[in-house]
Amino acid sequence: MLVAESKCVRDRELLVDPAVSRAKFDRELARYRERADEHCQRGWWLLAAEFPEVFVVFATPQTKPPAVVFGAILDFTNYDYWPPSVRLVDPFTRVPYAAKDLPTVLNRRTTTPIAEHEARAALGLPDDVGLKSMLDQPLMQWYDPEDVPFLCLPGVREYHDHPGHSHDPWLRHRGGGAGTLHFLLEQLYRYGVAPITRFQVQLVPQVGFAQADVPT
Amino acid sequence: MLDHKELLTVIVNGESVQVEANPQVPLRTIIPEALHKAEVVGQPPENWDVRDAQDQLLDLGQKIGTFGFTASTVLSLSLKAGVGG
Repeated sequence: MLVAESKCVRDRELLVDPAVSRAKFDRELARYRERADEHCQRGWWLLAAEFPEVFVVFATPQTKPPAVVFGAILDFTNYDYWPPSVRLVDPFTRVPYAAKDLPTVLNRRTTTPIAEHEARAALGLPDDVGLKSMLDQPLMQWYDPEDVPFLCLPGVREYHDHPGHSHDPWLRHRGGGAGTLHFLLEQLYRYGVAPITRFQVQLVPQVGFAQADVPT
Repeated sequence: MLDHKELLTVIVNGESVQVEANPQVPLRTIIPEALHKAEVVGQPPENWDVRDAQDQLLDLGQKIGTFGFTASTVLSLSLKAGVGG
């Protein structure tokens, strides 16, 4: 509880003159709006933007029929001394998703080299063939299914606030492109929406007996 | 198709800039100029990808002239997302 209260207080801290953060927020928005038509064609709908928050909904123009996938609220408080906060939200109510309700976990495929002689031998491959293991890792992270998950990427406030990432402070990334509105929306799109190519329908047929009539 | 030096439109962090494209050199050569024109510093050129309008990753080692770009082509420079998780 103390941790939650502490975080709540921290989220209200004012560390940057709001006029400065607002100017940077407006610059990000202006860049977005310059290419608003292209963003719309990719299924990005900016529905509200009032400092410090931007509300964007992502849809799938590539599916027939198109579908609304999720909403995202980006909070630019103390920007860019802090990176923006990113929350995936219900596109209709703007309520943050609990992990168990996420429509997508934003899987990212990672590869790591492995060099086990045994693996190559088992596959019948020569020793000079490199092997890599592929792992689909969710960018949305949580501990409990009831938790509000966070986007685990450099450039996102929740990532840099996490004690597990104290080795990778925001100030290493600030000004380099990560943490901009465009960068964050691009990541949400690339891992959350672009890979969707069709609908997956699971039907569970149930077989029972049908009667023409019920005897008296 | 570009057969002599032309200007290509490149989006960097949502901002549009124009860079000179030489069809005989690899695609990666447009990255430093695009970053310079967009005044984006802090991340070296090797930390950026180039994607086409369909968000497809392009081969940075491939010569620009082989892509079939036209004057209306719009490319996008995207920062490689850091490792999360």
